[in-house]
Amino acid sequence: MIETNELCKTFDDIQAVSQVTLTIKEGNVFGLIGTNGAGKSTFLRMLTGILKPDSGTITIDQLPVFENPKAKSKFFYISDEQYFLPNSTPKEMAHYYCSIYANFRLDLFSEYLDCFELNPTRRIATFSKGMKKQLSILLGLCSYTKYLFCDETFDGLDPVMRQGVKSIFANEMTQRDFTPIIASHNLRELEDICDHVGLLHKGGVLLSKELMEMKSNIHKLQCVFQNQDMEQSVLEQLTVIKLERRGSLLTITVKGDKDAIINSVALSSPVFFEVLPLSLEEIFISETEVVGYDIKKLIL
Amino acid sequence: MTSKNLFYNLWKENIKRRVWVMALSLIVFILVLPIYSAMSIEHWMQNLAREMTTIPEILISFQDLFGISENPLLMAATVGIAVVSGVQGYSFLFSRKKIDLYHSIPVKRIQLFIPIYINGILSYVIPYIIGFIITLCVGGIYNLYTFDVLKYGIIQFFLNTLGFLFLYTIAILAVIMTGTLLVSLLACFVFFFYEPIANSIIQFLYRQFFFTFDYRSNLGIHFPSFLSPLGVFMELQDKDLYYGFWIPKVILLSALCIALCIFLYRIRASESSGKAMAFPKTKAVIKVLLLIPTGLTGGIFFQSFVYRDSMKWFLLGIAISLLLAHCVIEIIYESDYKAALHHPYSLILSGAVIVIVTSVFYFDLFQYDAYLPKEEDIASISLSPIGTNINYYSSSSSPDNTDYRQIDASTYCLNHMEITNIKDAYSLAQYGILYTKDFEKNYSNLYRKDGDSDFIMEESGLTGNYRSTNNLVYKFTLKNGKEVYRDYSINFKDQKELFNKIFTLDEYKNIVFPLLSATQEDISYMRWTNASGTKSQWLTKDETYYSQIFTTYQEELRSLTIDDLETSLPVCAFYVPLDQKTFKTYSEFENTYYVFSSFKKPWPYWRKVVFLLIKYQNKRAL
Repeated sequence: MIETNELCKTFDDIQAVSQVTLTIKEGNVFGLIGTNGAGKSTFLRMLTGILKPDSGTITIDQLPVFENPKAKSKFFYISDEQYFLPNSTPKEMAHYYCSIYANFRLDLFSEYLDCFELNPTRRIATFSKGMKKQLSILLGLCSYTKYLFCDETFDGLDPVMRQGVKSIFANEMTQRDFTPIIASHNLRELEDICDHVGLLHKGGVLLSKELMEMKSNIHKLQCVFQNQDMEQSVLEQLTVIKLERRGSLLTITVKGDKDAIINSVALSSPVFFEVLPLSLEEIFISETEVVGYDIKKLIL
Repeated sequence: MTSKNLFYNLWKENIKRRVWVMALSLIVFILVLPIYSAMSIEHWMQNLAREMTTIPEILISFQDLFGISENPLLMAATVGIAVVSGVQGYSFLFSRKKIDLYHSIPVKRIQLFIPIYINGILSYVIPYIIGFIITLCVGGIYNLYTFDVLKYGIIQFFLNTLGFLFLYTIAILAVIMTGTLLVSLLACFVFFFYEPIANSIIQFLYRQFFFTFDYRSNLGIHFPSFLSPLGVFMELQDKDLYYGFWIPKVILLSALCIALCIFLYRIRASESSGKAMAFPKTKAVIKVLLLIPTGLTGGIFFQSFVYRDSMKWFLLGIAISLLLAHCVIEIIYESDYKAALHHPYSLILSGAVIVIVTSVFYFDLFQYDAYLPKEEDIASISLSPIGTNINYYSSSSSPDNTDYRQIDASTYCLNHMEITNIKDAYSLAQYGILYTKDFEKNYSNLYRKDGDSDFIMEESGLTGNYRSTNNLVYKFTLKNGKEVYRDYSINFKDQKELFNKIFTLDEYKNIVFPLLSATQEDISYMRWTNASGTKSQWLTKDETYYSQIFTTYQEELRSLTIDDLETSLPVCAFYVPLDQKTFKTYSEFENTYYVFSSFKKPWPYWRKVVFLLIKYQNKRAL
């Protein structure tokens, strides 16, 4: 488990991370969401011991991280611009990491290179940006560490590769103790992989929740009622977060148990009634509007 | 994984990344050792064929190529490789991408530091050894390979490596303290040259504002020499020192620097990559330390175009230099032109320090010019020579050879003279203190008025009537071993009587005229010349008249007075060699002595003797 407590980091006059307290449980895919400049990279770099926090604590499996090889051996960090040794090839990079990480799987690495059709003896300097991203992920996976920190790693991958990587992650998670932590500003990318999501904004944590919990507790309905009295009566029974009206068609976002909501609406015999799927984006917008942030302006 | 394996793997990976540094170092050493040696040997062999040198001399020259004193290319190579190795090895600190890799892997910073450090040393040592071996082979081809050469070469190798270690560690310190390549190179320059530049500025201030300052003085205010990596490196080469305490001192300094580098690297913030300075708290301190000498240099520069005591130009130069330097440093710090006038407090503080320093010198707040040691504290006094035209030499000897080097007359006399009967010399010094102050003040006023120094000297009566300079350098050797130097302006016309008493002291004269301390056995010949110096006659010590002339001349010289020097002229000259062993018939190193018209034995006597001698020699030749 990774725990941070009241983490703060300032660069000159800019508060990059402010009082961040988070828990990342093992066995879950943790998505770290935030806009540009929200503090995602800074937060990850503190988790990986690159940056020293100004205040607060970070522990990985109850071990402090900074200058602690024992804690650092538990994770692999893929930065947004991964550095490869000059004039090196994938094979040489694998050997380098093999000398650093005790459990590095060279055999698995060769297999993955074949799958992804990457030449092990070709100079990395000649790779495209997407190929370098792929290589970073493969090196991270084959280091066989418990945690894998990915900073905007998926953003440079094509859709096929993205799906491929997601399935590898899922596979790894079933086979061993593996917890990816993925930072991104793209909610749609993380929607089908993350179990737990944390939203950073201006250095602080706005939200940190299980995705299923969020999805199970908030629903979107489209309905048309017979008359205004019926409509009023139903709305009073529901916890309405958001209401949009187009003529007689109501689109309401409500909180609560799905079955209970359906029963309440059904009892009023609406002319039309449908439960619509909510995207992660819509969930966030709804949740954050409750806390007063007009998140629509922030999220792509 | 064991720490040994990890160290080996990290070392191996780093070596792969530094192949180009090794290759560059090897090329450099091939050029400065075997190739340079081969070129030099060929030149010496040509000289040998022309009988301009000897094999023992060539051997010594060949062995000297392994030391930086005689082979400055080797010194340049050492400094250059130290900087390149240091900067290249730790240049990952300038890049965020590289820092993300190296500081996220499960390796402690010190475990990253050490293999890189060791590889930097290897990139110097291995090419040096290769170049050394090839040079010995080149020497061997010309039969210049001896045990002494090998021994000397090995000693120099260790000394140069020790010097390299210190330079290299300082270069690493520069990298750790900064965040970009350009600033780290500037920092290397500052570390290497700050002490000599600062001491030069201080010496200049002494020379500019203190009228009695002599360049041989130990500066009261100065930066210690161990602050200069280059100075430390050069001191290691001093044969008189390296058997002393310098070697352990350099080892200790290097160890302290390494410890400092490791400490700073461990606390260095990763986010400082790409920034000018890695430790923000050092910015102000470093800026002030740079602004002060820069401001003073600007003042000196401006003043150098006008007369000596022009304070307004000095202060203007300081102000302009300070402002410019402040702006440049701030722009480098912030990488932003708009930051040029930020943090004015450091500028004000630097200006205040400069004003204080300048005031100390300008107003002589510590009474430098008025200082005179107490008479009872003085063990001896040495003076610079007046009224002689003798060449003075210093010598260094080895079993096979003696080297002579001409040195300044004042330096020779100050080093060898010890007047223990100090009463008259002390009185003259007391006079000198007062006279110098008045002289400088009057001279300055007149110079500003008329600007022609010779005219002013004539009109003001400030010209010394004495044949030589009107300056007299003093060295006071105190009983506690300390030496104090002062340069006084003396009006010899006023003080002739006093100076005559000093001049006639054996302790003075025997040094000013080395022949007075010599015996006939010491001097192998006297070489007399005609007026134009185109014809010479040698009077060797086994000649009949040698003893008579030698003894007579010594007696005449001993009774010579200041009045004699002032009123009489030299009527002829002869030359005596420094060393009777090395030179057979003609010596490159000779001292000149004159026969004065005031001698008791008149010129006809000398002429007769010399002509007789010539006749005698001609008869023998026939």
